[in-house]
Amino acid sequence: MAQAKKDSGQASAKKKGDGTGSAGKKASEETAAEKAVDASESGASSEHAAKAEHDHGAAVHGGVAHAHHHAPNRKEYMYIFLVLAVLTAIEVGVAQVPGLSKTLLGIALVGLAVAKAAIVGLYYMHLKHETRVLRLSVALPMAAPAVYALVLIAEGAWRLTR
Amino acid sequence: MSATVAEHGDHGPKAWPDDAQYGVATGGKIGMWIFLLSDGMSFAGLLLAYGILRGGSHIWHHPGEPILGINFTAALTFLLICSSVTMVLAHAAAVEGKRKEMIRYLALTALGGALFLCGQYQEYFGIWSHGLTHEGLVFGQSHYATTFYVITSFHGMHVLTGTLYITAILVRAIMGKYDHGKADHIEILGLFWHFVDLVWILVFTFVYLL
Repeated sequence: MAQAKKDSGQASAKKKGDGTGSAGKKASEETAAEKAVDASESGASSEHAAKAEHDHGAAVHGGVAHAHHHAPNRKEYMYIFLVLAVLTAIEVGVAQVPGLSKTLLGIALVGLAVAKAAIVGLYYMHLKHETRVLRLSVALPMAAPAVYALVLIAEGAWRLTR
Repeated sequence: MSATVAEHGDHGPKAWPDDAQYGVATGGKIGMWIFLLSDGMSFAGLLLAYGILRGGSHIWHHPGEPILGINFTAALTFLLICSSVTMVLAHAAAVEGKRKEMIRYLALTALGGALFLCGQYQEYFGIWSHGLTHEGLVFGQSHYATTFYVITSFHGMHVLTGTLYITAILVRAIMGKYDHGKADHIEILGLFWHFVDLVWILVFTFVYLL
């Protein structure tokens, strides 16, 4: 059972690797190559070169699902910045719309805030490029207080009806 | 030999075999995530307490107490989003081995944090106009005032910590510790800083907008 779990974990890591594979692999190879050059230029011993080789080996071996080896996408970062700025402007606008019911306002504002938080987590905190297990390790515990809030709201609503 | 090992000690995590569940996430990164989860629970506790107090109160906003300024705080929110962008760009530059660019973006991020703190000081105590403390929002006088100060100052402490953390990493970057694509520590710093931004997004909504 445990073995099966492990296998599926590796499988998903590999699957992920395929998506970002070529770019990530290229980046890691370049890094390793740079290290090798550095080592030889500084007249270092063969240990340097061997270390660089080793790093190279490890990076390539890792199926290249490497978060810190996937090439950062500046265009995407700027696009996300734009989205966050626009969503913030919408939030401020929505909060000042006269005559909007409190429930509707609450749902709209909380929805926008959760969307913004998720975007920051996925793109800026790189959760999009992490393994499924790490994503779930973050998402599930943080869902707990949200569920608790919903329970409290439901309880409050029920009390109002009595 | 030993000198070589010490010099290249930072490379260690990269040579670890990949974890079946966490891939190549380093121990440092997983450690930061665990800390952020516990920190997130602290904020969740404060926000839930705020919600319970507000939901159970007949009068939330007492007459005489100032209304929180949304536009100024929206500007602060935008400032934090900007500093998140400069943080990811610092990390991108670190990955690409561009030291000068990395240092510039780290400095800009720290500046963003410092400006946010100035903004919060203006909001609380006033620099160019009266602050909330002078306008009748007194800690301990109402749930409205107390929850506001507790939540925003707890976040403010995170901004202060983050700004000091960025400054420390900035000094190390100037010393050349993160050259040649050694971006792990920058990414871990980024996790903390983006978390501070992420929490502010929620605080801004719950405390100011709703």
